[in-house]
Amino acid sequence: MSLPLMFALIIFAAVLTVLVSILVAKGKIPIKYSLLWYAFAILILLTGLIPDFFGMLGRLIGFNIMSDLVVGLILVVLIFLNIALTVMIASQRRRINLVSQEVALLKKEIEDAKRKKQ
Amino acid sequence: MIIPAYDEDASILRTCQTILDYNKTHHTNYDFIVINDSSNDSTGEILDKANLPHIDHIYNLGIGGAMQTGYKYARDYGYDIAVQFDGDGQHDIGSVATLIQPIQENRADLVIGSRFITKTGKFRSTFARRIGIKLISSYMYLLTRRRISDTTSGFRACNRHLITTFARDYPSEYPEPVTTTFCLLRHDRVTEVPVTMNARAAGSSSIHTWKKAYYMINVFLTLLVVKIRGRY
Repeated sequence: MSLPLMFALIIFAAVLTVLVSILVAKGKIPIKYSLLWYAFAILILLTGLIPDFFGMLGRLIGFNIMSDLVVGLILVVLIFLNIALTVMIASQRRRINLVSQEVALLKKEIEDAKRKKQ
Repeated sequence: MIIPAYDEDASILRTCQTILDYNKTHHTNYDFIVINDSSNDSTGEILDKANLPHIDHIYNLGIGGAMQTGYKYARDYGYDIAVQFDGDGQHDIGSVATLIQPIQENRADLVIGSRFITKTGKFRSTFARRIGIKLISSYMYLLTRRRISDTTSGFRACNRHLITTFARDYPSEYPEPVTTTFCLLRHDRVTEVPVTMNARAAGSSSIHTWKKAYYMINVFLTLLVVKIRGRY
C-alpha cells in the first residue's frame, strides 16, 4: 500500500471518529448506534496502520490487491448496515403509526367528554 | 360501521346521510365512525360542522392504518360487528344487512361483499382490475385451497373475535387480500355474499394504472410471507 493511501485512510478514520463523536455529543445518535461507526473507523485505521496484515488476509481470501479487500469489506459492512437501518425504519414507522392512532382515539374521547359536559 | 376517508369532501356528507336516512326508514341502528385519515381537503371541517362521529388522524396512515383505528374504536366501545364501508359512495347501505347476516347467525367470522357472485349494481371494474383480482384469487386458492371471488373488496364485515385481532395488528399494505388470506390460513370462517356496488360518487381508486404491476408483485410476495409466517 502506498504511503499517501495509508495517510488518507488514517485521516478518514480520524474524520469519521470526530464526526460520530460530534453527533453523539449533540445527542443526534445514541451511543449504542454509534458503536458500529466507531468499529468501522477502527477497521479503516487498522487498514492504514498495518496494511501487511490486511494484505495477507486479502490474499488468503482471494483478493489480489489490498484496495479490493478494503472496498469489499466496506461494501459488505454498508450492505448489512443498510439492512439494519431498513429494519429500524420499518419498526419506527409502525410505532409512530400506533402512537398516532392512540392520539386520534384519545382526542375523540376528550372531544366526546367535552361535548357531554356542555 | 367504519368509514375510512381520505380527501372525500365531495362524498362523505352524502355517505353519512345515506346511513342516517337508512336507519330512519328501515328502523335499523347502524352506528358509524368516520376515520378522517388526515385529509388535505375539507373532509375534517365538513364532519366537524355536521357534528358527525369521526376520528381525525394527525397524519396520513393509509387505508390499513385507518381501518386499524376503526377496529380499536370498535373494540374499546364493545361492538360485536364491524363493517368496513367506503366513504366514496361505492358501497350500498342496503347490502349491509346481507353482509352481517352470516355473523349474526354465527356462521362466519369474516364476510366479504362480492361484486362477482351475482352481477348487480352499476359498478363495473376495469378489465385490467378484473384480471388482477382473478390472478390474486387464483394465487390465494393456491395458498389456502379456498376460492374467494372478490379479493380486493373493501366492503366486508367481521365479528368481535376478529375486531380484537385486527385492533391488535392490521396490515398497513394491501389489507384486504392479506387479512382474507390470514383468516383462511388460520381457519377462521370466511364467507362471501353478493352485494351491490355503485360507481364511485367521487374520488378515484387508490390503485393507479402505472402502479398495477408493482402492486401485483407486492401482493404476491406479501401473501407468500403470510403463508410462511402464518401472520402478517
